Amino acid sequence: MLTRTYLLSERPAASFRRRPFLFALVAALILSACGNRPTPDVEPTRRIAWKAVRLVRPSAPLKAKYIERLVADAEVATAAEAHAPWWRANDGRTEAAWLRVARAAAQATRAVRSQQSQARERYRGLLVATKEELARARAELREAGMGRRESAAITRALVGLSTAEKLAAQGDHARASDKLIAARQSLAVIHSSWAGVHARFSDKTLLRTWNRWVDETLQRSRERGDIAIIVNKLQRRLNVYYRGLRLASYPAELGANGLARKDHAGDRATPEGMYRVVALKQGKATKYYKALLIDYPNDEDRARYAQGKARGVIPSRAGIGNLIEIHGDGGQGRDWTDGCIALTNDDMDRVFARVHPGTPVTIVGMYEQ
Amino acid sequence: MRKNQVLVGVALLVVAFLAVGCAKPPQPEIDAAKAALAAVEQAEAAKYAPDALDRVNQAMNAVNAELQAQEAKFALFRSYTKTKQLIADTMKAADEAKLAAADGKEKAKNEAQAAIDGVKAAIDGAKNLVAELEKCRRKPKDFKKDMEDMKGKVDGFNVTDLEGMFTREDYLGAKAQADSLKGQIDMVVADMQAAKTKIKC
Repeated sequence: MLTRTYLLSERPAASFRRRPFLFALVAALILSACGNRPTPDVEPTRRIAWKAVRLVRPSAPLKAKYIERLVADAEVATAAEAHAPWWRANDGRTEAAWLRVARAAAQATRAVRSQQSQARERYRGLLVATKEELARARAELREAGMGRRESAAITRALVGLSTAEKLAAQGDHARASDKLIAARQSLAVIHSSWAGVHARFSDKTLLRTWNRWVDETLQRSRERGDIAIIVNKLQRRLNVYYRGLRLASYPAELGANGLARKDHAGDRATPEGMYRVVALKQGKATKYYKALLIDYPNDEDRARYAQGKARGVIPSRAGIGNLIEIHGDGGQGRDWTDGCIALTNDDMDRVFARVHPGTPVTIVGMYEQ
Repeated sequence: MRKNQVLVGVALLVVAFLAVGCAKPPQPEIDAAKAALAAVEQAEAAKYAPDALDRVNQAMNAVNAELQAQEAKFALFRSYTKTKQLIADTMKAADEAKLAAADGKEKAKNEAQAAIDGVKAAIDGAKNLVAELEKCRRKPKDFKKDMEDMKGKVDGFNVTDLEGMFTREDYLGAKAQADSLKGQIDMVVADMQAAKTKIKC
């Protein structure tokens, strides 16, 4: 109505002079109406920004916070520009603010994705290496028959591997890698024990001794035209010789700590030395199908046992042990006896048929034929 | 007559200024909303209720935008009614986010605790089984090695790590590890049960 009065007036200048308050009111209304201008469409950038916040937050909370602050500033700038009166218009503030948001979101997303990709790659590499080491450790455990400490180590490694796989499935590759590293440290315990057990197989003095025993056994077999048995512990083979020539070779299973040298009763190691068969057992005389009892301990074993006792390396209550046999019921694919040598029953039949009391049985760590 | 009209006009303007021009931003409410947002962050909403935290942030942004919109207006036309409504919405969202974060944390804690308790019970069960097997009269020769192996495996079941993670409030990590450990214990227990059946213990 007021506007209409103003517009239709025949003498506006005179009307303004007469009604200054009305004029001021009309001007204020017009100016305030000019304040609401169309705002740019910021919704896509807003969505991208919040998506970036959610992606970045778990691994880089400070970066997420920074984007949140930029979004807050951009929202204020948008509102300010949308409602600013024409004389305070500052076109482009909204766009500039949201551009900052978009840039920060893109940078943070790129950085986090790159970090995630690196962590994923590292995890994959470690996973392959850990699985290989686990397989090696299992083979070492089977081969060397190690003890309780090593079993605990492989259990820890398995738990670590499984936890790592769970964490990786949740997308936390960095922590999954840490778990794999810990699992590998546990597996290192087994590798180290295995290396310790095997160190003696590269000891030149021992190798010379074992080769001498084998040479003497074969020489005697040749001289007497008789059967001799030589057990290669590392290869887990029982070889039967006649007149110094190998007749047959059978897979053998050793004591649970078979690769170590037997020092005393209960150590579950298979002895090393030159022995003889002292009795052939079958039927009710043995629990293990058929058995060849050998004359462990020999003089050398007794001397070493006495030395070990004197030095305190053998427990004071441990005896030297006896009843070491070559017996049947083998074929389990692992070292399981208390120090005896186990063959399958079929192989035991063949060996049993060839030997007699007095047949030499030489047990060595390894030898080259 | 004309003088009277001028006086009435001035009086009307004064009344209008007094009624509208004195509208001020509701500062105590704004401060309360900011404090509520800080409390939500303090409640680890970023970890346990990220969506709820986003809702609070968006609500707070709407408050700030509305405040800015009112600031931009000519003083006579400012009104903070909508701002107050938006602040109320923010406070509500903040309360919900705080509750969601507390619930999420409590849920994660309870799940981790239950998983750890399950592991402890399973380890006790495995130890009892080892003791039972050791008491068996029938002990085949190859069984000794298996026993040693099983004892070693039980030794490897360690909850110290788990408890450390729980104390550090790493509930999600503790649960993942406890679940893995439980899986391994179950396998060893199954082996021991099989051994028990085999030797008719």
